[in-house]
Formats: sequence, structure tokens, C-alpha cells
Amino acid sequence: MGQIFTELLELVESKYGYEIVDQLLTNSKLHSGGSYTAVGTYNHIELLILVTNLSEIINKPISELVTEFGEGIFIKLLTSHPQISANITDSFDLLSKIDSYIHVEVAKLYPNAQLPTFKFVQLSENQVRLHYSSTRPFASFAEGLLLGCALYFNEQFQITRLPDPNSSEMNVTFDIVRTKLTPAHG
Amino acid sequence: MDDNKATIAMLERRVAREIKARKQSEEILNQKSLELYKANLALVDSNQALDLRVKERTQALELAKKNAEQQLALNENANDRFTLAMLASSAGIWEKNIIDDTWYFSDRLIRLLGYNEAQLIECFDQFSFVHPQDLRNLKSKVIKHVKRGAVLDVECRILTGSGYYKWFWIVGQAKWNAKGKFTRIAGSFSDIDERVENAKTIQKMAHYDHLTQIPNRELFNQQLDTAIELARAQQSQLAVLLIDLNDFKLINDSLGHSVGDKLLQHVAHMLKQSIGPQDLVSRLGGDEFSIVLKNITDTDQLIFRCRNILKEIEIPITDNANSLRAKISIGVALYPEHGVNRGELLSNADLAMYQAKKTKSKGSQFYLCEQSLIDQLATRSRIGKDIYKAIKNREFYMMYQPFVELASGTHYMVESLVRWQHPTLGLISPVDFIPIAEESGLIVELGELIIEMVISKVPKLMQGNGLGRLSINISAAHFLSPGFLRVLTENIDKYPGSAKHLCIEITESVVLDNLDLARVVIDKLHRLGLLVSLDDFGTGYSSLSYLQILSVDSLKLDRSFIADIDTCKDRRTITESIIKLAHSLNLYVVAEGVENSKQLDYLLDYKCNYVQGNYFYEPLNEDQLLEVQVDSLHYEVWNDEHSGEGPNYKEQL
Repeated sequence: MGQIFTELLELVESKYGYEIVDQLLTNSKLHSGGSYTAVGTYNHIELLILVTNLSEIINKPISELVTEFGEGIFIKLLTSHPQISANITDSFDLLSKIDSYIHVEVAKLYPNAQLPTFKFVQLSENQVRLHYSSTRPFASFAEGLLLGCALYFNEQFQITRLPDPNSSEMNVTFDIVRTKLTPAHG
Repeated sequence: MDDNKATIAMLERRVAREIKARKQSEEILNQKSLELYKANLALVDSNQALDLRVKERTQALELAKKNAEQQLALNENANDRFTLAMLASSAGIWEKNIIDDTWYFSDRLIRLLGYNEAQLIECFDQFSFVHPQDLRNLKSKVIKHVKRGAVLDVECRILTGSGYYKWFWIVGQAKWNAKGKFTRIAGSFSDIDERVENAKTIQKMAHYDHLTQIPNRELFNQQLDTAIELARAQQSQLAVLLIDLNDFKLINDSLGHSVGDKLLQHVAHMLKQSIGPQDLVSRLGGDEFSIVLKNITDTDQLIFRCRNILKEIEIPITDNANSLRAKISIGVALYPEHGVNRGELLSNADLAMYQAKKTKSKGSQFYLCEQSLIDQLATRSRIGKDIYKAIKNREFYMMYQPFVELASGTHYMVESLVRWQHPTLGLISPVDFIPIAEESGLIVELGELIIEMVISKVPKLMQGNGLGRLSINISAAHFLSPGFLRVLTENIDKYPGSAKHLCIEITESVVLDNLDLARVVIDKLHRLGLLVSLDDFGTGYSSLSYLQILSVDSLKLDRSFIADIDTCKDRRTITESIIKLAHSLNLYVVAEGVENSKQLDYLLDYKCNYVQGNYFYEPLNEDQLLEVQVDSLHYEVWNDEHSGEGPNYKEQL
């Protein structure tokens, strides 16, 4: 979905300035030319190229970048779709509803979107296991989104990822233990 | 400057990118608009299709509603009809809804059975009002109906609220849903008490004797058949007793029918008393009864039980201070020894009863059937079957027994006697086959054959040996038959002059059958030149007035008279009187069956004209007869001593 691309570039611009965005787009020689629109659909490879090239330009590990952007994008995505987030009470409630509710609604808005699955198992009140499975290698991006989620609900997630990022980005289990930082967010 | 340029270039790139993104967005938006437009069109189509479908559905619903309304009207009609039918019906209606576990009973049913609804529910649930003897059958029918759909149609006794059992005809029909589950059952009760009771009465009337209230022949036949079947299955013996009252006609005639009826009732009662609960008794008709004794183990036991019956029967009834004691004759046939079916057993019991009757003068008797009796009957039956063929095949021949004229010692008269040489049974006596020929009506054909055979012998037998007359025995039925005189005349015509050598012997029964006709025939015979003799005189009614009316020429005293005259004075007196009377009527007398000289002496004293018997001649064949010569010695002696007594026979002859 194009919003990921536009949100990414907006985050880069807000953090590093448009010069870095221009340099990134110029260096990346993308098939789309980098003229992204939120309503368009782009090859996910371009997202990988952008992250890789940005990592080189600003000299930051890809995983850190991905996590960083994940947090920012989560809040953007959630706030830009209030009709979807209206009935969510807390982070685990949200995670448990990704497959059964959120992605169902997303598919209505973006019929062509290729969505990953998140298999949710609650192990205890503050511990869940989430299995990510996708045709695209965005497990780290998903991890970033999870951290963004924790942040949004005033919580901290301690995430144990198996296997590690070098082994798989497409089929990954996240064991999450949450800690509430302050009284729960609205 | 360079920095500015670079910034300008970057901004230009940014603007170019933004422009490109905007265009891209516009294209996408255009495309989305087009898609939306198309989607709208599709929606319009879809809406129209939906409208059409809604319309169709509405129409279908309206039609369904209309149908439902019509159906409701029909149902209301049916319901009205059902209500009216129930009111008009004499049957009471019941229904059980299995699903709801509810009952319905019509008012009529409540009235018929005399219970309230709560009581009826209990009665129906428990079957508690069904007669114990009918319960099993009813339950079985209900189960078979519900499980297999067999017809539920039962007649049974139901205990009504009044405390009496009544007969009801119960029918029912269950209903099953699409899955075959039993959902409800309904039916009716019809009061058939009167009909069943009437049927019972009719059944009783049809199977029981009205006078004695014991089973009649119809029921007896059924019961006997069943008893035989059982005996066959159990390989046991049973005895069939045929019982006849002795001289019952005499009792009826002398004491009246009411006494006769009382006697029959008494006998029925005593017979019932004398047998066991498993035995059968019935009145077959008239004064004939029958008993079946079951489980006969041996002859001694059978005799004991028969004696017991006779003992019971000895108990008299008292009527107007007169004591009356029934006398009976019992014939007994045993299954399987004397027959294996009802017909054989009754027939052979009848044979035995006939034997018992022979000694009825000694009082009540019973006689156990014997194989010899059955064999005799079989022979009789065989004779009956063969006699027609025998006449056609001319298996008969004649024997001749001369009479001796006591006045002259000659044997001028000869009686012809028929014999039957059966191809397998051998020689059969006329005593055995004449009664059978009479019963079967073949006596006419047989008599005609005898007439033909005897007359054909007249020319040969009546020449040169002193014989003058051949007598022929003709039975009453033949004598009075239309063809008798015609056949006789035809045969006489074949042998001219034979009539004056013939004598026809008839018995008194001819007179009893038709006196006027008998006189006409005798008259015609006289005119043809034949003599007529009255045979077996003294055995039947022996009315002396007949002798005058019939104008016969002679009478033959029966052998039973002659047998006793040497030992019984009364017999002698009667014999002498008859001979004198006959002579006074100008008849000559022939004594049959003379066996000894003593008998002959008495007959000589009484001036009897002729004697016949084995003392002189046994029946002779044709050749033997021809060899018989006139005994001149006898002729001379007796001619001197006895001439002038009685009619002038030779003139007649």
C-alpha cells in the first residue's frame, strides 16, 4: 500500500530533512521514480531498496531503521483509520484482532492489498505469542509496528523473536511480554 | 551560489516528484471514479434485479397468502364437517397427540363409556378398561399398527362406567411425520354389544339343539373333526358312540310327544352326566344321540365307560306318577381302529348300533364295532357297485327247488331261485344282493333278466318229467312297475304256451305299496293264464283280508312258522288255523323250509297242500332237476290218504 511509502518518506524528511529524502530517491533509481502517493500500489522491493540505501546514507543499521519507522508508522496508520481503531481497548486486544478484524477492514478499503497473517495466542494476562507469516520479508517492520503499538498504549513490549532476522523475515514468532508504564491509554 | 543551485535543483526534483505523484493520484482517482461509476451502474442493475426479485417474491407471498386463506377456509369447512360428522355418528372419537402428549375425546365417547376425561386418559394410557381376555390381542394390534402400519380394527370388551363390560368395535389410524416418527393416533369406539350378543344367540341356535340344549349335529361334526385331529397328533384313541332310543316311536305314539320330549331331555341330561369334561355329547336328530369319549387307553376302560353310560340311563324319569325308563342301543367305533375320519367312524358306529339293536329286547345294550361288520359293509358296497355290470354281463343263473305235493307225492311245482356267480367274490346269495338291488332300483332290470331266463327254460323243463309250473319271485317294486307286464308278455310271446306253466310269487309288501294296482296286475296275470302266490306269509302284517281282496291262488307259509311247529304248540295252532282258513278261501298252501319228518307229519295232519324244503330237495341245477322223476310210490300212498282235501289243485294248475 502506498501509504507505507509516503509515511516512510515523510518520517525521513521530518527526522533528517528533505535533502536526505532527495538523496535517497536519487540514489535508489527506483522503477517508480519515488513519486509515491498514498492511494497507489508499489512493488515492495522498492521499500527494501529505500531502507537499505537510507541505512547507508545515514549510517544506521537497517533493523534500527525499520523499528524506528515501525513505531512512527503505527501511530500514523492507527490515527488515519479511526473507524478501525475505535473499538480497540489495549495492545493485546489489538493484536488479537489483526487477522479477525483489522485486516478484514483493510481489505475492504484496499482490495488489492497483500496482507500478512498474525496468529495470536494469549499465554497469560501479559504474555502473548504472535506468529507472523507473509509472502514479503517484513518481519522486522512488523516488529517495529509492535513497538509502536506498545508506545501508543503506554506500554513496553519485551519481544523475543524466533528465528533471528538473519534467518527469516517471512515466518517469525514473536513472544511478547508487556509492561504497563502508566495507567492505560484511552 | 552552488548551494543555491543545488537546492533549486533539489526543489525542482521535489516539485517534479510531487507533480508526478499528483498526476499518479489523479489517474488513480480517475480510475477509481470510473470503477465507482461502473460499480454504481452494477449497483443500479443489481438494484433493479433486486427490485424484480422483491416483486416476484411479493407476488409469490401474496399467492401463498391467498392459498393459505383458501386452505384455511377449506380447513374450517373440514372442521365443520368433522364436528357435524362426530355429532351425527354413533361412534365415539378419540385422539392422542404424541408430540404434545394430549388427548381428545368426543362427547359421544364420554357418554358411551361413562367416564370423565381424566378417567378416560387413565383408561387409555393403562388399557385398564379392556377385558383381560381381550387385552393381549388389542395391545398386539395397536403395536403392529404403530410399528408396521397394519390395520387397527378390533372387537373387544370394555368395562364401562356403569360397571359392566360391553362389546365395542375399535378402529384407529396413526400418523407419522416425514422422518417416520409416530406423531398422533386417532380412532373410534362403536357400540356393538347388541350385535355380538345377537350373534352369540344365533351361534348357539345354530349349534345347539333347542330341546335338549346340547350340541347339535353341526357342532358335533366340527368338534369330532377337531377331536380326531388331536387324537391323530397325540396318537391317542377315541371312541365314537352312536346312541339310539329303543322304541321311541312307541313312546311318542302311546304317551304323547310331550312325554317323548321329556324323555329326550332326560336322556341328554343323563348322557352329559355320564361323560367326562373333555368328552363330547350331541343330539344328532330325532332320538339319535352321539358321544365322543376321548383318551381311550384300552378295551376294558372303554367297556367300563359304556357300562357307566348304561347305568346312568337306567335312572328313570317320573311323569304324573308314571316312572319311565329310557332304553338305548349304543354302537361304538374306535379311532383309529374302525375309521380315521368322521364319516368312517359314524358309519361303523352305526353298523355296531344295528347289531346292538338286534338284542334290544334284553334292554339297553352297547356293541363294539368289529372288523367283520366293516368287511360285510365293504362287501355290500362292492355288491352295490358291481350289480349293474353283473346284469349286463348276465352273471346270474337259476336254481330250482321242487315242491312236493303231499296229496300225490309228486313235484309238479318248482320254484326258480336266482344265484350270482361273481367273477372275484364267487357265489353270492340272493339274501345278500336282492336287498341291495331293491335299494339301488336295479331290481327291475334284474327281475326282467330273471323272467327272460326262466321263461326261456319252460319248453325244456316242462316236458316229459311231470313238472307243471315254474314260479318266479318278483319284488314288489318290480311287480308294480309299468314295464313288468309288458316284459313278461314279450317273453311269453317268444315261447307260446309258456304262460300256463308259470306262477308269480309276490310278498305282502306289494299290497302295502299299492293295493289297487296290485289287484289289477294280478287280474291281468290270471287272464294270461298265470298263477299268483303270496310268499313269506306270516312274517309281515299278514292281514287275512288281503287274501280275499287280492284273489291270489296260494299262499306260502314262511319258514319261521315251520321251524317251530315240532316244538311249539302255539305255532302249530296258528299254522293249522291259517291252513284251514286258506282252504276255506279256496287257496292252496305251501309250507316252506321243511327240514324234518316231524314237521312233515304235522303238515300232513293239517292237510297242507305242498311242502318245500331241504328234507326233500335242496335247490337243484337244471340238469339235476331234469333227472328228478315222478315218485309213483309217494303218489299212490298220498293220493289214497289225502285226496279230496282243499281245492282241486290240479284243475287250477
